[in-house]
Amino acid sequence: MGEITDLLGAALLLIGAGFFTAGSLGVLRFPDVYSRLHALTKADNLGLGCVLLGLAITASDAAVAGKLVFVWLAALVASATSCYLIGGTALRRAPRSGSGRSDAR
Amino acid sequence: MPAETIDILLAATLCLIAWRLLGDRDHVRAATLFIAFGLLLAIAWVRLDAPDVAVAEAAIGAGVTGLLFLDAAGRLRPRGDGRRRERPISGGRIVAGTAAALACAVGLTGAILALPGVTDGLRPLVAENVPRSGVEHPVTAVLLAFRAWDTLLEVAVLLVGIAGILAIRREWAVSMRARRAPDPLLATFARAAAPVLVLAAGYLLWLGSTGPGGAFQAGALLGALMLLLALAGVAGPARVPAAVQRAALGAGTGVFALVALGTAITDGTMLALPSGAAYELILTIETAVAVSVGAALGALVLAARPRRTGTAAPEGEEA
Repeated sequence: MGEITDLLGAALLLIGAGFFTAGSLGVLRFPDVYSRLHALTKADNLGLGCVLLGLAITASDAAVAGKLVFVWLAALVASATSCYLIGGTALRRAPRSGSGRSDAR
Repeated sequence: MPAETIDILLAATLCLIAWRLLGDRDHVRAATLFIAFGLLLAIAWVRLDAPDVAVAEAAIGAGVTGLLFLDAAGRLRPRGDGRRRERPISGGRIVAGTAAALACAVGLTGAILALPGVTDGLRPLVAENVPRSGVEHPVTAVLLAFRAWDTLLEVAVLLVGIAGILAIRREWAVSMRARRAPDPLLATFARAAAPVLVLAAGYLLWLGSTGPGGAFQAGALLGALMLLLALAGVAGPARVPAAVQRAALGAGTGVFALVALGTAITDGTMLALPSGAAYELILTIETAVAVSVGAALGALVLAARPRRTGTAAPEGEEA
């Protein structure tokens, strides 16, 4: 049983790392601020969730696992709020900045 | 082998980020890279087996200092705005700079190689004295029981620093007034996060006696709380009156100095905590220091805002 949870935890960590890589690639390569925000928050939050889930199931006790879940919730709320704020600022500065405008960093 | 690979990658990435951010023309991008640098440095501290320093570095080095840089970057004109043609750097300067950097690198490498190998250092001495200090965590024991004098002076330095900043601005306290109408989502987030931050700060403070945590880490969270409330605009102008701010700034140094005086009077040696009440005294000192550090960090960032009484908000102000 311990081996299965270890394997599952490792698999989740790798999947989470994959999501993080995809999100970072998106931040670097997407054309404008809105799609970059999309990649940053969605992919990174999912990656964080997978990583923390992998750590939680191999955690030593329930208190540690609970704290990891709390970390994930806090990161979700914080990243959602900051994504909204960044998007709002970008919208106010340059509405309808469609494809190609890479100065809206 | 994987551990060394991570360490080498981490060190190389730190150097790369430092190189990039020093040469960047865009101030905002440089400030963002600085925050990333601070976070990677925190990971490096974890790899060096110092989680207390890692938390402090992430909160203060990356968080507060990064916020200060971003705040300043938003107000500056971009580099090379065309008003003054920049001269290219002369070859002589490049050679001199490279030579100086190489000399530093060689000197540092020599110094590191000349260090004695991995020894136990002071660890056995600390380990055998920790039970007498009133706490269980060796870092807290060193900070607040064995070398409490140094920590007292550190807290005093923080007080002097923030007093200097306030003196330059010629005011007694910082204003937490909102610069523009608060964004409803940010205001809700600030209101919801405030009790969580207070709870987390108290938890970190409490944890300091048995694990990584303590006064500075809790103070960083309290400073973040103050900044969040101020930047979200939910702290009304009467919420933290100036007298309370001044009391909070001075509390850490004051309580610490009181304990020092008390022990000097009763025991003859300053900060020789009596073994019966050591834990309680340490907890009291840590609470006061946490409040002070939080107030100082908040005041540090808020005092950097230019004094504006109009309604026009600065263009690049990050919420």
